[in-house]
Amino acid sequence: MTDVLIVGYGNPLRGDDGMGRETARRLALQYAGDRRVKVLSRHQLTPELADDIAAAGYVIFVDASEDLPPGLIARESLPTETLSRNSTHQGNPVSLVRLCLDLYGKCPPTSLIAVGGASFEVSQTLSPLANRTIPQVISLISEIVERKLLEESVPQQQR
Amino acid sequence: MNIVIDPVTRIEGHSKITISLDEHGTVQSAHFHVTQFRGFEKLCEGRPFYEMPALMARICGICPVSHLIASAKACDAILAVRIPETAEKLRRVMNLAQIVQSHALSFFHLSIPDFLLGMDSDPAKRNLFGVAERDRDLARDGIRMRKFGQEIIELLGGKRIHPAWVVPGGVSEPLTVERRDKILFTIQEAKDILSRALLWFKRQLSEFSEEIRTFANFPSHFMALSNPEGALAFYKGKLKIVDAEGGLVEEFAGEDYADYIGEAVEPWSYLKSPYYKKLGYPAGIYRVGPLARINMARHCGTPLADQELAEFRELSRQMVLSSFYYHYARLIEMLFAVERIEALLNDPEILGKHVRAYAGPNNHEGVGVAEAPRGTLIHHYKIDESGLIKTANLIIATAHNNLAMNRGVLQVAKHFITGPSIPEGMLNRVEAVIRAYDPCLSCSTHAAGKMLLDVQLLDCDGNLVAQARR
Repeated sequence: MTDVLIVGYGNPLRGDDGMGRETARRLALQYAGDRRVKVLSRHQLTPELADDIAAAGYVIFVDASEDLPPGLIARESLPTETLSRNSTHQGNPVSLVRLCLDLYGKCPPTSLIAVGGASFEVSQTLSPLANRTIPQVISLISEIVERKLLEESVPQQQR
Repeated sequence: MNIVIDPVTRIEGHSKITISLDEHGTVQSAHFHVTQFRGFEKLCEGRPFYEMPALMARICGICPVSHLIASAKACDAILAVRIPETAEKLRRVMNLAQIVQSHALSFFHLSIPDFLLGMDSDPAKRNLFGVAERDRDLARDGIRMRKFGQEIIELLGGKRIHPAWVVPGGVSEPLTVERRDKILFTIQEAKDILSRALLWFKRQLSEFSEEIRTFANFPSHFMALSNPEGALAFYKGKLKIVDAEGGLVEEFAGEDYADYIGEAVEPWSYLKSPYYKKLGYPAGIYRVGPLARINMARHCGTPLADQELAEFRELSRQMVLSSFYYHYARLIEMLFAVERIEALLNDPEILGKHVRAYAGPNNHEGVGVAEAPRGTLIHHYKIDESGLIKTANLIIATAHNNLAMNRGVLQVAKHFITGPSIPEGMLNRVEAVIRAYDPCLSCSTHAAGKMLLDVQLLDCDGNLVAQARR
C-alpha cells in the first residue's frame, strides 16, 4: 500500500494547463526511491486511477485552474459522501472518488490542490508566473506529504 | 420524418446517426455521420519522414501505439532495413498491450452497460457507475484489465499515451529485467480476469438473440493480416480477403494495397468508405477487426485462446456474420494477447541490447501495415530527395468498416424502429450496433485531397431552395 499518492494532471500542450504534470514531474524526482510516495503524471483522469486511489492512504490531486486568479493556490478536501455519479469522457477527481467508493467500498482522504493559471492557449511552455508558482506548490505538497508520513509512522512505532 | 441521434454515445470520437422515416413510420434510410475533421495527411507534408511515428501517434489518445507501429513500419521500408529481432519482439509486445487496453475499454467500459443492465435500462445508469453499482467485481475486472495494458505500454515506452519509443529502425531503448519481471508478475491475474469475462459473456448471449440476429448480420467479405501458418496475426504478414463462406478471394503484400482497396467519399460524412476494388463501390463492402481476424484465423497459436476459438467456431461452420460477435472476438483476442505477451517476455532474446537499425532513406516510398484493435491500419508515405514527406495516405481500421457500419445501422433501424412512438431502448440498439465495431473516429477522418461538399439551402418549411455540390 502506498502511503501518499500524488496525481498531477493536465494538458502540457495548453500552456499553464500543464502545471499539474510539471509539478508531478518534479515531485517524482524528489520522491524517487521512496516507496511510501507514488507520483503519477496524467494527461487526463481515467477510471483506472480508482485502483491506485483505493491502494493509497492519502491522495493529492494537482491541477491548473482557469477559475482561480493566476498564481493563487487553493487546497480543497474532497468529500467522500453525497457525491453524484458523473460518468463523462473526461474524469474529474470527484467522479474518481465516487468510482473508488463504488468499486472498492472505501476511499482514502483526498484533497485537490488547484493552481490558478495565467494562459491556457496552445503552447508547450509555462508562463513566467506558473514557473514562479510551481515551487510554492511543491513546498505545500511536500509539507502535506511529510505530515502524512509522520502520521503513518507514529502508529507503527507505537506498535 | 427524421430521427437524429446526436451524439452517438460510448464510442471514441464524435458522430451522429440520422434515420429517415416515411409517412407510415417505416425506416427508409439511415446514415452514420462522422462530424469531425482532422487532416493529419495534409499537415504532415513537408515534415522529415523520421518524425512521422511521433507525429502520427498524436492522431489518437486511445490507440496511439497502433499508429506508432504502422508508421514506424512505413519508415523501416523507406530506410530499407530489417529491424533487429529483439526490436521486432518488443514492438509486438507493445502492440498487443495496446490491443488489450483498447479492447478492455470497449468491452468493459463502453459495452458492458448494455449487456449487464440491458438495452432498455435507464440511460442515466448505462455507464461505468451503473455497472459498479450492479456488479462491483465485473467493473473492477474492467479497471484492472485496462490498467494491465496501459502499464505495459508505460513500462516499455515511458508513458501510457503517445510514447515515442517505437522509432524508424526499431525501438529507442531495450527492455530491462526489472521491467520485464514487473509485466510478467501481472500476467496470471489478466488471464484469470479474461477467463471470468468470457464465461460471463457467453452466458449472456442467450439474452441477446434478437440483437445477434439483427446487428449488422449479413454476408460480406472480411480482411485481415495473415501469417503463413494462418495463425492470428497483428504485426506481420500478408493481407488476405475472404468471402462470407471463408473462401480466399485475395492475398497480397501490404505495399500493394492500392491495387485492391479503393476509397470512396460521401457528402454526409468526413469518414471515407474503403471498398474492395474488384467488386466496386459500394458492392465491395468488407469488414475488418476482431470479428474478421477471429473468423479468418485457422488457430490463435496460444493454448487458452485456441480453446476459446474452438468454442467460437461452433457458432457457424463458415464465417460468423453477426457483428454482435465482435464483442466475443474481442475477448478472445485479449486472451490471446496476454498469452502471447507472456511467451514473448519469456524469450531470452527480448532482453537483447541491439534494438535499432540505422540507415538513411534508401527508398522514396514506404507502406506500413499492422493490425490495430479495430482492424487493419495502413500508413503510406512518399518522400522527396531531402527525406521530407511529399504525400501521406492513411487508411484507418474504422474506415474499412464504414460501409458495414452504415449497413448495420440501417438493418437495426428497420428491425427495431417503427413510428410514431420510438422508445429510447430502440435508439440505444441503433447506437449499440455502432459500438460493436468500437469505432475510433478521431483516428479515422483523414480525407486527403478534395472532399465532396454538398450545400443545401432550405426555406423555413424545409423545402430545397438551392443546392451546390463540389
